[in-house]
Amino acid sequence: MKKRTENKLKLHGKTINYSMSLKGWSIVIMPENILIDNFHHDFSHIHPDRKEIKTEDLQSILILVIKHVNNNKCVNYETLRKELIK
Amino acid sequence: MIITLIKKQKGYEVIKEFTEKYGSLKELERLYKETGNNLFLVDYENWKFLRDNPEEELERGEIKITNKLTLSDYELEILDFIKNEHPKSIRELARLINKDVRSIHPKIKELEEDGLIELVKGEKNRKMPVLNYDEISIAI
Repeated sequence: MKKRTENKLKLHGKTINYSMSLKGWSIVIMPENILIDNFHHDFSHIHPDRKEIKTEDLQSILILVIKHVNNNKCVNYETLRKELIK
Repeated sequence: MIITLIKKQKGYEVIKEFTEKYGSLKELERLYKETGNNLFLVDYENWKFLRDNPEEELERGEIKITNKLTLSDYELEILDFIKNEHPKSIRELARLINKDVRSIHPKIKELEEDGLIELVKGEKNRKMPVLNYDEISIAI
């Protein structure tokens, strides 16, 4: 099993950085500076208020983020947040 | 076409890169607090973890989605020579693979534009081709 990975994906001028380790995972969308992770808590959440996301795993959340960027050709924090927490 | 460029590094190698980039862990923490940039936070968390686990292997990938990349035997040969022979210039690379420097130049430019190689400043201002990845995987 891969213990620790770090990836960078460029899409429509956005950079989606995602990393995974035994302790947890994180996704950072730049330049919007949006952080989604499950570090320091037992659940997936979106910053800054650490609102819980129902989907647990990195891959599923990553697909939702990529779909959002592809559909909108940009990142709308409020819309993305709604899509993730529903 | 999805291309994944993978670089495998040990924790201590990543820490060396972080030190060159940020100076110190404390400086990185200060940068995060000052800017709120979440990439700094992720690097900060990684640095703390790798400091305690320097032998831990980290796989760093760069994913590119493109439809214009063409990798023929010629381009693969160029990548192989850059990776394994470490030529100090494009001229030296051309000599190693017995090609004219004028014919290799456009290919090098394309590979650089596709992000598969980097051209860094070498001796006497020569452009040195560098392939910084351990694996290149292509998914269609």
